[in-house]
Amino acid sequence: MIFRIAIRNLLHKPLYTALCWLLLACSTSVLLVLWALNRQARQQLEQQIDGIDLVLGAKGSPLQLILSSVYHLDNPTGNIPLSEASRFMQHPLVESAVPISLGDSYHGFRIIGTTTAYLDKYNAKPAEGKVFSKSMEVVAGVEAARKAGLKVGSRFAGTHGLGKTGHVHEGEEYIVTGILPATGLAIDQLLLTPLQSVWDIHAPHHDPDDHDHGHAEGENHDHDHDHEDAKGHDHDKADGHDHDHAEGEAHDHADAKGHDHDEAKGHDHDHAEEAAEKADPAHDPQQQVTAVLIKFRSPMGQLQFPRMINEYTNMQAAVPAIEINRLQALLGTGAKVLRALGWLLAGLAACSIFVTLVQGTHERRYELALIRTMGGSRGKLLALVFAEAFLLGVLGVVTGIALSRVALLFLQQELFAGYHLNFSGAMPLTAADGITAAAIVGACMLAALLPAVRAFRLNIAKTLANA
Amino acid sequence: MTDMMIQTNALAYTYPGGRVIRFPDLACRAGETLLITGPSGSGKTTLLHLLAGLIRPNEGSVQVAGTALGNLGTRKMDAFRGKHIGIIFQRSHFIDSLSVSDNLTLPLQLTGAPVDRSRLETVAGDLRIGHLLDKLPARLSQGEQQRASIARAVLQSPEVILADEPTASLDDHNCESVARLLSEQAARHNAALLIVTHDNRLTSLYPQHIQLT
Repeated sequence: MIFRIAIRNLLHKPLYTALCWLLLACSTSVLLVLWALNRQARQQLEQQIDGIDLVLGAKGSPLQLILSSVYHLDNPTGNIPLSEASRFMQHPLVESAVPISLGDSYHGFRIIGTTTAYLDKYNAKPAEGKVFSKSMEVVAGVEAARKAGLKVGSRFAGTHGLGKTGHVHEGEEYIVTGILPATGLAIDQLLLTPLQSVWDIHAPHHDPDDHDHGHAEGENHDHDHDHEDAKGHDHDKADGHDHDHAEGEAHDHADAKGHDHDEAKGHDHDHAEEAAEKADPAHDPQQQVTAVLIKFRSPMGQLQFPRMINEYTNMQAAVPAIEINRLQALLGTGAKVLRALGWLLAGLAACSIFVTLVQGTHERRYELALIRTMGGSRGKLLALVFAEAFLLGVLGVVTGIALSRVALLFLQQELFAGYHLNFSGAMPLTAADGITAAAIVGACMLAALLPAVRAFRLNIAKTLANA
Repeated sequence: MTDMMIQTNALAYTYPGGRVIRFPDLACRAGETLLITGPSGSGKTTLLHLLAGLIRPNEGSVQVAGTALGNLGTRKMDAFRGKHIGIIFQRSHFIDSLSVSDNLTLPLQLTGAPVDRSRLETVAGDLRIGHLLDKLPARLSQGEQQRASIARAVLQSPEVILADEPTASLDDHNCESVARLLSEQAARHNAALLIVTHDNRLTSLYPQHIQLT
């Protein structure tokens, strides 16, 4: 009966009830969405760096290197010669080293030149077709294939740069040999091809006609051909073509066999030596990669490599775990502000419940006294006030949970497409969500404490005498 | 059980300011009606509250339906009141958010007694509010509200019905009608009816009355 009266009382004052309900639902929703995103982002970020102890790449921002080469989000810091990277890739402390080379894309999906070791690292085997075995063969991530309409046997030409628009490598078609199964990782959004494909398609002889790669602002063509290695070189040929990069990334492909790198550290390069080294791609200074994902045999590698690489080479070593912690610390501030906002809303909801109940017990003091005269105990009055707060709390929290799941459903697609983070695992409620919901209901009950005590201590004779 | 439903002995109450009021001894049997009259401030409502166990006397004792109220703790007193005493107030108080029907059955539900729907309809019909059961109390006229109060007081078949100024805010026609219905219902349920009022219109209707001074 007490619950029934409480429900009818809440329905009897729809505006007050709606206000409290709305505030509670919003605060619960904001808090739960933030919990879910934070939890899932952390899990996803950590899952993707699993098995990668160090990333070797061109100098620049270490976070940018990690984001571009592990999460495939940011633009690369530049390229490094495979020959120089090989020294470290073959180091006894290294268990595995997977080179990747970025540069082109198709419909916005990055084409990554790599080896089959990349697939092994993520335990990805084609669900359809087979792994690439030669240049220009592609294994497509499930999302990339679905959204770009690729099937096994499909042919497509890549677009220079990582944006959706840009110079299309006409006449150089990739062929899809396999489609990977869904992993929930960034690999779902990638098009993987042998390193040789990237080298072939960007080799000067594949683009004999003079053309100007003018990249529009925002196009994100940022694979810096940053030949700042120790063996920096200067190629001057007659029939050159220029790639003009908008964002300070000037590099000039000069001719069919070489190119002119306008760099401060320009230097002469011996083409005879280059030809000799071409027999082994790892020693061919023209063969460049964007990054190398390294896993060590022992923690010693983690201690020695970063210093060795950062201090004595023109390359950069970035530790994913450190960078991701740094990223989370940076993002954590924003999340904290949003979380504080959520709790503030919850506090406001509790205050509105407090005001509503204080006002309600005062306005309904005759009703409360009446309940006592009809056999209701003081405990029942206490229960009645708490029941109203509890019902409001539960109603608000349940609505908030529902809203948070709907919000996550909408956010899921956006976040996966935009940040390669799979949030499908964010839907189930966790113990933390339960604690948050219980805390909000608890706050409602706390807000009801004073009005409930007032109802409990109501002097019925005095109240009725003054009626 | 004796048929003496209300019995007081040397009852006195001290107000917070120190004023002491002493009441004459009362006795009312099942089926009888006792009218207590007196001017404002004579202690009529205080007497009714003492009889209902809403306040405790400083001296003397109250027995209702054979139970000495002084022996009951707060919780037991609440339960006893809900089960054995029906109270009608000058202003009809209801739970505004509940329907008339829910309001009438509230004492039964609060004390855990079963709700007999047919009895509810019979009592409501007797008091000419049968068609108003699904409405909210605020939709009823003053006369209808007072009749609903009577229905609520008698529905759980209490041994004692206490009425505080039940006709004070009613016109002559409604006053007589409500008084007659109240007496009829008390008699039908063989309850002792005690009315406290300063409404002189009732003195002619109830020959057994005590004047407080």
